[in-house]
Amino acid sequence: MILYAEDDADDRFIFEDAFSSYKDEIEIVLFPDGLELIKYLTRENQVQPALIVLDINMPQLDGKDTLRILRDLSRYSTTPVVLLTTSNWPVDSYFARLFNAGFITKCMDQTQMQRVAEELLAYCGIKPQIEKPEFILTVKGR
Amino acid sequence: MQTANVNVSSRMPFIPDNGEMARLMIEHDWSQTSLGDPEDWPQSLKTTLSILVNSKFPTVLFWGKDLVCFYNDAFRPSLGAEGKHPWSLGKKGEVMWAEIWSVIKPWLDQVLAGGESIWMEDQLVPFYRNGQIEDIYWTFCYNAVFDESNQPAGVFVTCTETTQNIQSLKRLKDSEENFRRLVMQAPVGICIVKAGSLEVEMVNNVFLNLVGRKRDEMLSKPYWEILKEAADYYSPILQRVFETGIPYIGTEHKVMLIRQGREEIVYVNFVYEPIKSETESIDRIMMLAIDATQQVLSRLEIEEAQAKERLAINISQLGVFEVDLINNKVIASSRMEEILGIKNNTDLNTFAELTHPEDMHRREEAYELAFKTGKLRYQGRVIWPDGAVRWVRSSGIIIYDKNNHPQKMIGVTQDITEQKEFEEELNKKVKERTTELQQKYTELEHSNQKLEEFAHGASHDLKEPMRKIHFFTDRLKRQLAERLSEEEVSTFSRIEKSVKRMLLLVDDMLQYSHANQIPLEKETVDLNKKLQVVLEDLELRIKEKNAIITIGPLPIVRGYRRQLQQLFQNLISNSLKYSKGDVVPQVNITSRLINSNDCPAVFPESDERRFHLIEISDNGIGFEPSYNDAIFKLFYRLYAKDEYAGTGIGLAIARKVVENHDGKITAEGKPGEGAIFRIFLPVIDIK
Repeated sequence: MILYAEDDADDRFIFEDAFSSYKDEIEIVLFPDGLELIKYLTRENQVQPALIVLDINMPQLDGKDTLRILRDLSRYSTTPVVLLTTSNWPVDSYFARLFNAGFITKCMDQTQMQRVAEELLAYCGIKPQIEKPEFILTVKGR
Repeated sequence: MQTANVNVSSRMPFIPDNGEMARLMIEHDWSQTSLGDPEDWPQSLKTTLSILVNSKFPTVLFWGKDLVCFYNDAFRPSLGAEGKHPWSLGKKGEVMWAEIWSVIKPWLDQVLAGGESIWMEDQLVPFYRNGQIEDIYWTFCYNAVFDESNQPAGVFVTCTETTQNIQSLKRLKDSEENFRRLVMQAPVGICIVKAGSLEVEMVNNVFLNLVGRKRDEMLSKPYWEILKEAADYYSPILQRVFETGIPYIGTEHKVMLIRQGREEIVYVNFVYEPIKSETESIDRIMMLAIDATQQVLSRLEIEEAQAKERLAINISQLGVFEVDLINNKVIASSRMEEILGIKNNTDLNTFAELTHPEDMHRREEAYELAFKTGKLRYQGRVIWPDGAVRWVRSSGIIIYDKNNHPQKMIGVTQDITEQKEFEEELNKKVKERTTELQQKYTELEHSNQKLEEFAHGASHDLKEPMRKIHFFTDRLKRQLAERLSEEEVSTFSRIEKSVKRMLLLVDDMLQYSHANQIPLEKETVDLNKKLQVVLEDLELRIKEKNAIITIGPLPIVRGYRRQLQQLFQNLISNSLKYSKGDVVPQVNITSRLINSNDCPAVFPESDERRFHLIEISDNGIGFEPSYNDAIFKLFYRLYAKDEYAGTGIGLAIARKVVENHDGKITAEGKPGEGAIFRIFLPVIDIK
C-alpha cells in the first residue's frame, strides 16, 4: 500500500496513472492533505503502508509538518517516506535528509514519471532495486 | 635764739644779716678754723664777704692758706638737696670740693700765684648733690682777692650754672638726630625741600626707590630739576602749598616716572606738608609718599574681574543668591527674585517652599550632597505665587568659617524653562520618530518576509501549471503518437522546450532575488562542509556527465550560509553545463591565502588586506578572454539558447553573493581549453 497526500487533483491523477500497470501488486490511497493522511494512519489497527509520498505545499497540514509528525509517531518513525515536490530548493532537500526521507522533484513528462514509479516501488521493496536510481536521492541509513 | 642771735650778730657787723647764708656765717664757730675769731679777720676779707653776701649773683670765696669756703644765697641752689649744704660752710676747700679738687685746685693755684683771672663757659664740672654725682655745666670766673699787704689771699669765684641750657641744647641736637633717623628709617618715602630754592635737604631711601633716583643725584639740588617728568603737573601744586600753608594730599595719583632710564607708571599716595619756622613763615615742605602701585593694580584687577563677573551675570541672566546658613536668611539679587517670581523676601523657608512638590526630594538630596562636598548642583521646578511652573538650575558653593562650620552658601540660579521645554519637545520628537521608525522597520521586516513567502509560493504556483502544461503536452503527444506527422511532433517539442525554459527562468529569478537579500547576521561557514552539500545536490548531474570533481582544503569563513551554497552550486553547475561533449569533465577547487597587493589588477587600492583565493577551474569549452567581465552580467549569454540551456542569471548571482561578502570574483576564459573562476573572500578573524 502506497499513501499519497496531494492537494492537486491533476497530480493525484498523474500519480495514480503512473501506477496503473501495477494495480494488482499495490494499492494506492490518496489524500487531499497531510491532516487527512495522519487521521488515516492513526486509526486503530491500521496496517503499515509500504511507502508514504507527500507533496510539500498543501493546505491544512503541509508535507514537512506531516513528515515531522510521522517521525514523532513511533509506529511510523522508520516508514519509508518520499517528498514529491515542485521545489528544487536545497533547503527542502536538506529537510528531507534531516528526517530520513527521500526527495523527488515532480516530473516533467510521462516517461520520467513512469521511471519514478518504478523507483518508488523498488524503494519500498515491492520491486527489485534498480541499479542506478535516477531520481530518489540516497537516504541516510538505508 | 633771739638773744643769742643779737649777741652773735654783733660779732660780725660787716655783713648784713639778711639771709640764710648770713645767719649761718654769723652762727658758725669760726674759732675752729684757720681764720680764727671774725673780729680779728683782715678788713679785706670783711669787705669781700659783705660783697658776697649782698650779691645776687652766685658767688663762692676761697680764703686763707686752707682755702676756707664761703658761698652766698645765690649759689646755694647749685648745691641741691642732700649735698654739701650746709655743712661745707667754713670747710677747707679740699674738703668741700673733694670730688673735684683735682680739677679746680690748678685754677685756684693759678689765680693765687698772681696769674690771670680764669673765664670759662659751659664747662662740665660734675659734683656731689641730690644724693649723687651730677653732671653740671658752669660758666664762671676765678679772680684773686688781695689782702692789706697786697698779696693774693683768696679767690673770688662768680659762677652761673648753665646745665639747663646745655641740656636743652643737647636735647635739641638729639631730637634733630632722632628726627633724621626717623626720616631715614621711615617705611614711607620722605623728602624735605627748602622754600624758595626747592633744594632737597633730606631724602630717605624709600623715597629714592620710589622716584628711581640716587641720593647724590638729589641731595642739595632743586627738586624739579631732578624730577623733570613730574614738574609740569606737580610744581604748581607744591607752589600753592608754600603760598597757602595748606597741606596737599594726593591719593593714588597715576604718575609717569623715569626709573633706571625707563618710563614707568606708578601709583602714589602722597602729602605735601608745610613746615613752619619759629617766625611762622613756611621754610620747608616735607613730602611723604607711598608707592601704591601694587595695591592699585590689584584693586583694578579685582574691579575688572568683578566687572566681568557682573557682565557675565547680566548677560546670562543669572540670579545671584547668598544664604546665611546660621540664620537661614537669603539675600537674592533682583534677577533672582524675578526668576523665582517673588519680591523682598529673605526667609529661606519661603524660598524652599517655592519648589515643586515632585522636585522637593531632589532638592533636599542636592542640599545634603552640598553639605558633604561643598558644592551645590540642582535643577528642578519652582511654582510662582501665580501658579506658573518654571524650571531653574542652581549652582553654589558653601563657605566655611575657621572651625570648618558651614557659614553661608553663595551661588547663581538660571531660568532654564525654555531650554527644558525645548529639550522635552526634542525628546518627545525623538521618541515619536523612533517609534515611527521602529514601526516602519517592523513593517518592512514583515513585508520582506511576506515578499519572500510570496516569492516562494509564486515560484511553486507558477511552476505547477507550467509543469503540467509540459506533462500533459507530452501525454497528448504520446496519445497522438501514431497519428502525428514529423512536423507536428516538432511543434510539440517546441512547446515543451519553451515551457522548460520558462521553468528555468522562474527558478533563477527566485535565486537572484534571494542573493539580493542580505540576512541580518553572518555566520561561521565551513566551506568544506558546504561543498559536500553542494555536491550532494548536484549528484544527479555529476553522474549524468560522469564528471570528476576534486576539492582541496577550503577555509572557514564568515558569511551567509545559503548564499555561499548558491555561489558554489552555480559555479560548479556552470562548469558542468559548459563541458565538452567528448572529454570527461574535470572541475578543480583549490584555496590559498594571498595579500591584496599581490593582485593589483583586482585590488588597485594601496592598503594591504588578506584574502582567501578560491579557484574553480574546469576543462570545458572556455570562452574568449574579452568576455571575462561580460559573463557576470544579468541575462548575459554567450551561447544560443539551443546550444546550451542557460538563463544568464547564474553568474550574476555568483557575483552578487561575492560582493555581499566584501569580496571579488573574476573569470578567465581560454576558448577550447576551459575557464578559471577566482573568488577572493576577505580573511576575518573567527572567534
